Amino acid sequence: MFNAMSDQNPEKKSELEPTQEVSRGESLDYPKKEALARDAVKAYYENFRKEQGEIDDEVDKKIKDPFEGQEVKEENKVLGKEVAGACIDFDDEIKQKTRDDPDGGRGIEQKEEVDDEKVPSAESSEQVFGGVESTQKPSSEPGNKENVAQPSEDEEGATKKPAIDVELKRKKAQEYINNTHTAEQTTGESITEGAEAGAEGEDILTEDEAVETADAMEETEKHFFGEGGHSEDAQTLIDEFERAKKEDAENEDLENNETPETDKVIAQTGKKYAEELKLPLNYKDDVEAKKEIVKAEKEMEKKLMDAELIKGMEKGEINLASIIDEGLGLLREGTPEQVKTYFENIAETFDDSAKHMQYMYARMEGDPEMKESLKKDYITLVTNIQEFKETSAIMKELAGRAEKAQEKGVSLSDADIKEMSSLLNTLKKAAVVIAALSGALYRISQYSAQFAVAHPTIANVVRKSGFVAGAKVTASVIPATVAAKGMFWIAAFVAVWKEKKRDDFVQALFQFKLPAILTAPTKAEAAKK
Amino acid sequence: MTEEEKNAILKKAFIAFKDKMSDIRRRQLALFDKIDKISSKEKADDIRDKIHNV
Repeated sequence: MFNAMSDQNPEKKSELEPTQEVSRGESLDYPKKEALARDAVKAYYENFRKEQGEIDDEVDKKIKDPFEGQEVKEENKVLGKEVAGACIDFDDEIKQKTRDDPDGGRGIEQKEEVDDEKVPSAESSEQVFGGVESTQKPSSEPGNKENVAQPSEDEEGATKKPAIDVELKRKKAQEYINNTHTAEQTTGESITEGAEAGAEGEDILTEDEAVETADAMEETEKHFFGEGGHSEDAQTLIDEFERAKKEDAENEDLENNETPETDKVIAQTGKKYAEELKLPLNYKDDVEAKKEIVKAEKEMEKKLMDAELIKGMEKGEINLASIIDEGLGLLREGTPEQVKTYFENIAETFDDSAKHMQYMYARMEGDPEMKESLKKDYITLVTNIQEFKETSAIMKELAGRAEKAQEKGVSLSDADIKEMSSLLNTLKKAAVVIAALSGALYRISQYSAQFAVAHPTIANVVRKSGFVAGAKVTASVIPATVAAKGMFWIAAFVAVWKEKKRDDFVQALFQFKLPAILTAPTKAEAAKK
Repeated sequence: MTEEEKNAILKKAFIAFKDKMSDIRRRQLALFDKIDKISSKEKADDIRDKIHNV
């Protein structure tokens, strides 16, 4: 909501007549200036409280681990404490120095208590946000001093019961804001339109209200700093704020791989892949070309889903380790020709896997919704395709050495066997710790649920990505291990092929129920048919 | 104390307040990021568990 500070919203501003009327005078006297400043501080506080509540809600919604969640909430509370402290410091500074009040506006005891508290106090903030009224009533008046300096019973009780404290204080904060707004409206003293938020007892601020409040803040600050604009110091802070805001936005763009060049880069890569796959040039737009891509992708899947392999996987007779063990056995006891065939097969599988991903890329590029997802995962997706190709090249090179031995009619040299064994053993170990396709396919699993429902191919990929998503990715991935990625992917792809399992997977991953028409029949349903 | 002096104090206090809020805001945004990161990791772990249990 703070980001809305600088938003220009003429329509909203037109609703800010009270603010403009109050501050239209070119030279406001001090009490009015203080009132405006307090109003801005209050708006900051309200915005903060709203987002503080959002953070707690997000924790409840998104984080399952109670310890992790609690940690975030604790940090959130610390921020609340700091905001309360900032508000109170502001209050102290003004009251102490402009009213010659040695204890500040609320007294030393109160200050110490707030510093020790871990949550913002609605009451202490209320003291700060005595706002317009407090500026009109000198702090030396007994009533005001008393209100400011004394902690409430709730606050004292809260220190004894920290678990209840947060909820209690949050509730009281909201009540306070609601009451304050209602009172302001009643007395007609409201300066900010945003202050109307909460008058009906709903959440602290709605989005629209927050924007209004932010506009009011901007307006207030403008008048506070005078018609000549902000002071140099203030301008520095505002510039810093804007810089931070811009930085946040840039970081967000970076995370999403969103740059002005993104579309261009995606198109260039797509063109390169299209050439490699021999796709028609209009592959992104032409309906027939799109069908071709889908067909080719399915054929590639069918090839990768070798029936015998699937059967072996389902029975648990074949797995990644067994595939690698087969290679190790051939190195020990097989002929060069067998070794050559073994590595050629693996190389072909990696090539096919790369092609499968390339077809998928082309299809995503041609679909507006999927293209947005592609932007997010472009780098990892393209990197994985490249790794598949590089792995295939390694395997082909090893197959080539076996072929030379075969042509010469000799056995593989000890050096070759040692190198090949080492590679396969590395793959075997690496498979356990390296995520196949690491982030890319996991991110794909985050794509639109609708698309996954509509497209079983992606659902397949999702299952596979899920299979590897939790695996640890080592920071130093040696070239040979990329082979393990591919093999792991294929193994995972096949291992969960059963339709029923696929449906369970998709449903589990996306946290929604597949429509009946898209799910595999149960055994009973199949028997009936 | 003159009006001018009071205005100067008020301005200084307000600027100090905004400075603190700017820092707090950045840390608040970082908390949103942290929630997303933890959530993503948990989802990944969850997915892995589900798959291993299939």
